[in-house]
Amino acid sequence: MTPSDPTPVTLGTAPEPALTPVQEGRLFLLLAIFIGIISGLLVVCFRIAIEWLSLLLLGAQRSPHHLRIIFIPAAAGLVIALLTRFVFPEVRGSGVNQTKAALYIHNGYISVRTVTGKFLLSALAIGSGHSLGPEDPSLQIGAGVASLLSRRLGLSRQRLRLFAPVGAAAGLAAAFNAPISAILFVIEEVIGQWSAGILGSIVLAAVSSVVVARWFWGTEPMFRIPSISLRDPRELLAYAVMGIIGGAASLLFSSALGWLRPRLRRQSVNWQTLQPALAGLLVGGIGYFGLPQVMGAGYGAIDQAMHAQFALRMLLLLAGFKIIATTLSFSSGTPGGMFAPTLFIGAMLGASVGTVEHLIFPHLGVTIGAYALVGMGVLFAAFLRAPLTSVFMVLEVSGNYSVILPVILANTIAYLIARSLQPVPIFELLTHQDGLDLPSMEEQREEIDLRIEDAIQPVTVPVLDGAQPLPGEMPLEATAILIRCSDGGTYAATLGELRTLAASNPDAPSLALETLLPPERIPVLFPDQPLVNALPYFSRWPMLTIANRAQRGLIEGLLTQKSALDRFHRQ
Amino acid sequence: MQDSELPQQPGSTNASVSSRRPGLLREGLIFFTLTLITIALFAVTLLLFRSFSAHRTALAHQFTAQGLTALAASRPADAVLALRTALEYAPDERSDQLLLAQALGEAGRTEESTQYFLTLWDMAPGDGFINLELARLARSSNHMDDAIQYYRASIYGSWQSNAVDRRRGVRMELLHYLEDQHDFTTARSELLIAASNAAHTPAAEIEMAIEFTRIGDLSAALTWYGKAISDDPRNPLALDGAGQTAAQLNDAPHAMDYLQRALEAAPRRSEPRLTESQRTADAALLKQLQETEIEQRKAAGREHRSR
Repeated sequence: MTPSDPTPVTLGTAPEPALTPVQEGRLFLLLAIFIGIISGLLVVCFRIAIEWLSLLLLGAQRSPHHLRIIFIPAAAGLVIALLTRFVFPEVRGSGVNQTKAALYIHNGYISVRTVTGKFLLSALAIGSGHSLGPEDPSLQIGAGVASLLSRRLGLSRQRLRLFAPVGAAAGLAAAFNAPISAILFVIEEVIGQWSAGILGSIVLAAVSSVVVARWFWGTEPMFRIPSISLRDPRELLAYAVMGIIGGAASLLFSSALGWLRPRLRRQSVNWQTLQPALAGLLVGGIGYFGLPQVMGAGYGAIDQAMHAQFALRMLLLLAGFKIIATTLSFSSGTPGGMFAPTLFIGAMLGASVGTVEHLIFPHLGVTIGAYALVGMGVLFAAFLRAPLTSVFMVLEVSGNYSVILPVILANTIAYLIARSLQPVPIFELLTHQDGLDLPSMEEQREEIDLRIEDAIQPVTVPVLDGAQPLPGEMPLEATAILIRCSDGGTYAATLGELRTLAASNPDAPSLALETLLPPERIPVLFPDQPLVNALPYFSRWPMLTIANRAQRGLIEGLLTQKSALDRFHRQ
Repeated sequence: MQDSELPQQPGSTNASVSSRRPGLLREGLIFFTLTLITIALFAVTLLLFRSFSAHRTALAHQFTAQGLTALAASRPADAVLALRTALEYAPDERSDQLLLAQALGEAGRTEESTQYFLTLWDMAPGDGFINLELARLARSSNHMDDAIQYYRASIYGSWQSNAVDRRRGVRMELLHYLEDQHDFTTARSELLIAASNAAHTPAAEIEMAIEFTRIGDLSAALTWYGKAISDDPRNPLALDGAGQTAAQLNDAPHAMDYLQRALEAAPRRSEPRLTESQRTADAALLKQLQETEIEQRKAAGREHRSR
């Protein structure tokens, strides 16, 4: 933390909000639009910075056997390491986990210094040829913009936390030029669950940022998409094979990262300072000896694979060496993202499957570009564990719904293979390596919310009419008694409570029971409501009645504290 | 409940407005500040983007020029590298895409070139040039059916300029390919179509006659030479072809007539003119025909006398 940075907001130390909740509510959607526009502009600048640096450092024509291809990434790695160590200590990593950490640990706080460092060092790393991508840093830059704006406006802690994912979606949408995928990714991987309260703001911010990005770059995605279609149903078999290959490749990729990264992080600080330079040297070496395509984000090579411009051997070489190069670059602590490398590897593997099919079954008229496109989604689903985003990404990028069946088939197979062979998702793995304990989005997504209907029991207790006097004999075996009052409400009382009420009023035997009761009634609950909503009421009521939504006044069943807790235990 | 949500009471309007005024002012100030920040950032981004785009365009032009130079100097490998770089900076530049595909083919990277052209074909299946290049690639890979299919697609495809001549040129190329493959039946069909569209000039008519000769249809060839002679009676090439063809058809009188006229016309014409070897061959054939005729006359005289 630097003296110039505002104090981070942590739990229990929230500053007094400068705006009233009503003002915050009014500004919320407007701010989402501004966050989207500003994030979009910053991401455009970020991309320009990467391209300029690439031109300046690696030259206009990147071809093998030029010495600068080896030395520039190494020298840039050293500069990045020194700046990371002494000026921007928070910029390591892709940006996704850092945004999640900001959301779950620091209440949405991302410092200006971190955003600046992420912008500069990621641009330098990718521009100098490190095998990393700009999407994840863009996500963090967007989240940083949102955090900065909401802090400057003095929003409440609750709003600060809400704005981080809004900015993240805006940053990612501008980088990807695909708003729906960005929104889904933020929901799948950052927030972890659908929330209607924030969805509107996320959509507004993402769409605003994409409008800005498209104003500059045009409507085309990062790579040109060929016209694709599923020409023969038999091709589905090839897509299934691609799913298997994608799952295996994702396992290899995440295992390599899981093995190398903690080993490098365990080294001394001085040795860690040299790691980005060494990684740059090795990645540059791969480029020098014939594969400069693996350097940088690799969109050009993805475009070429998409247009079937690589032979099979080259495709396999590129996929293999991209895994190595990205593992080296990312594990060394060089800031930059994993989205683009994941798409690169997926595109190469997909194009390989398409090429093999074309060689074996030329009469099927295979479109290799379609396989490359689906391959990108496959690795995205398997490696980043964002299956929903992966499907929509392919559909949104291609603008072609005819490939939805192959996409779903291949992505599902790859996702299931990756999940069963590598139970810990990559982002969670990296979180654990960093010593953090962020919520697992995959688990959170799949958590089943228990409903009241899961713990409901039949009405077995006596139900008394509140208009009648208290009966002379009480059923002793009953734990509680329900009293239907003439105001339409229901009161639940224990036998002891009823006896006390009766004893407190000498005229009780002649009075209507409801006149003895306090004015409060059991809250109205319905079977479809979350079970957790019922828990606070058990401190007051011995049991709760569950009403029927279709028939007013009808009691469907009862809920007791014991039945609710038993159901939670069984989950 | 917040101030803004309080129900309006008669007489309390002024107080309510004055209490809301600081909040509205603050919101207005926030909106104004954010707008200013956005405008400033937009201006900076636009400046950077324009400069960046101009630089990319310049680089694309520079590498396109390098690619063209390399292609002209028969250095296709260099051209591939330069054109690939040009396309990195201007990925949608169609002329560069076509040049790159062509350069790949010239560099012997037939498979890559075919793939590239097929990708371009997907985007423009009716493009005459792309189909022609695919036909040539299929031809070099000995895929006869594909080659014929692409040649035909090229003939009926769209061309940027000079479409009639380009289509005729492609048809003649297909014709030669079919002749090379000894598929004279298909070649004759193509030739008949080409002949029906041929220009009414001696040069075009002679070309048709030569093609008919190549596929072995000598009568049709002689007809086309005849058309050329009627358009230009002293055309030595037409006379030479007609003479040679008539001789092959054993029509010695006409052959001698044509050959005689060809040899007489040749020295007086600068264009078109017969080569020295053609003239020598014509003279030899004429002499041979004349000797044969003399022999035939002598033989006929002897036969007449013996009767």
